[in-house]
Amino acid sequence: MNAKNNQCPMQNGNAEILLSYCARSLEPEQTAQIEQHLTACAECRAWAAEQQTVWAAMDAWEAEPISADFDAALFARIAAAERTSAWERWTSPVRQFFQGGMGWRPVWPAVAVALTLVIALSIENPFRTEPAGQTVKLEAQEIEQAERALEDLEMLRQLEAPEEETSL
Amino acid sequence: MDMMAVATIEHDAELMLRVREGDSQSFALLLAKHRAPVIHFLYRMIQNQAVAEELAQEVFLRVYRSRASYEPTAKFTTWLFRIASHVALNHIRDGKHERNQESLDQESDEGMSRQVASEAPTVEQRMVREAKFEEIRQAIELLPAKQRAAVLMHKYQEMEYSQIAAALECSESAVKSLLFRAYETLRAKLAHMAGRE
Amino acid sequence: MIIRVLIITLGLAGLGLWAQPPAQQARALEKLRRMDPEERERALQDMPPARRRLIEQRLDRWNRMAPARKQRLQGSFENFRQMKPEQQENLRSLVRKFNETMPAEKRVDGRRALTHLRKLDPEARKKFLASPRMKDRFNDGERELLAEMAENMPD
Repeated sequence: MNAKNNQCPMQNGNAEILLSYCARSLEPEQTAQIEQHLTACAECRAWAAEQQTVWAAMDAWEAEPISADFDAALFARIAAAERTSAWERWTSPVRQFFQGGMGWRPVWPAVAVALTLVIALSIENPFRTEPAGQTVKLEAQEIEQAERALEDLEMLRQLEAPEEETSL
Repeated sequence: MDMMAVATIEHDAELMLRVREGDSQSFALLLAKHRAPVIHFLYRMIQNQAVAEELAQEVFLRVYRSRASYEPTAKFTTWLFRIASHVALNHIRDGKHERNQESLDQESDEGMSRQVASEAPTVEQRMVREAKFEEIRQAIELLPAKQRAAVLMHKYQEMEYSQIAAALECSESAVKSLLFRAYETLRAKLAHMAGRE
Repeated sequence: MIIRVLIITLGLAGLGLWAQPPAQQARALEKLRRMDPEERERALQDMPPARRRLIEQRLDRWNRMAPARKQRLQGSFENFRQMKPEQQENLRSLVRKFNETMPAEKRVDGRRALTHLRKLDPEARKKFLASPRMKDRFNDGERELLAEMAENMPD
């Protein structure tokens, strides 16, 4: 094997250096060495030319545009996952109680919350309508209610056949 | 690795650490930066945009769920693409990788019309390009899944061997071998395109 | 025993109210929708950014919706509101299962199948679900899920 072959990436099983050269990821010094080798080695030159062709062809494969509501759908999934885990944490003592795995004591906070909700929510008439022209103010609880309504609407929207979406 | 790349690594990892502390704004920043690369990688793996977006949601959901245990031991992109590769390879392994012919036709038409729209080519040029596009797509689709993942990360994400190895959970020499075999196959199928429009 | 029954009753009442009466939800949504952008921004400013963005995006989507579709969805929402809280929660969990277990391209067909199933009477539904086309496209579990969803969806 002559000196030229000793440096030949194809001959000494180091073709990845040619790959890196084609990917322009070599240091300048190595790049210069490979370029010098390519002037003398037809095999490597052909290999590199083919590799460039493959990459040029791959460049032609453009990616598809991303749906406008990608983020919205992701945040919805995150919010749903967080709500589910919060709900599971909150109901855990109650569920364990009904499964008989726990005594009475841990249930009392849940009972207290239920009682508070019963009292607080029964005071307000849920079917009251907003007087017209009044400044709109939103309590934290109402934001959550609106959020839940929007989530349900989104669920119902998603259940429609895709053909119906054209009217969006 | 240049200084800009180092700064990027630190910035992403820092953002992820902020997400771990409960800062969802940092998650939105990470999403804005990595959304397109992840979706495009998955699209080229699966070759169905709707499925790619669905899988990308799974990837980012996993990122978000892992925030509490996140440790910046690897480059953020490597960690992200490890999750993306897992999701894609599992999807393919579970046999969910069925291209719907209807959507394939639609995708190809849309993709190709987008490609040619800006240059207003002749019908003949357009047909040549469509054929070329289809040939490339098929050549990549026919690669074994792991080779495909390695090539896509190498070519389109410009990831280093060590990063691809970490993402695919194999050795660097295994990555080199995967890439070499994959490019051999692609060269055999696509080299005739040299000099072709 | 009496105390246990009392706790169960109170617990159920509490859970029902936790699910929030739909009338309140609709009213809160209407209030949010009627706010001008500055007011809305102020109202939502203390929320975590991800949730706030989601609310804003959904409101925007709702506002941009064509009137006919909005009306149709309002009708469905109204019917959904009339359902018992546990029925509502059941449907939410079925939809979650649908979204989590079926790949995206299958869900598109799933939604078409659902729309068709809802127009059929129980006997015709069974026939449709057992048809070769449906069996070819969906496995047993998926067809069962679609049947259950169609059964539980509001009119």
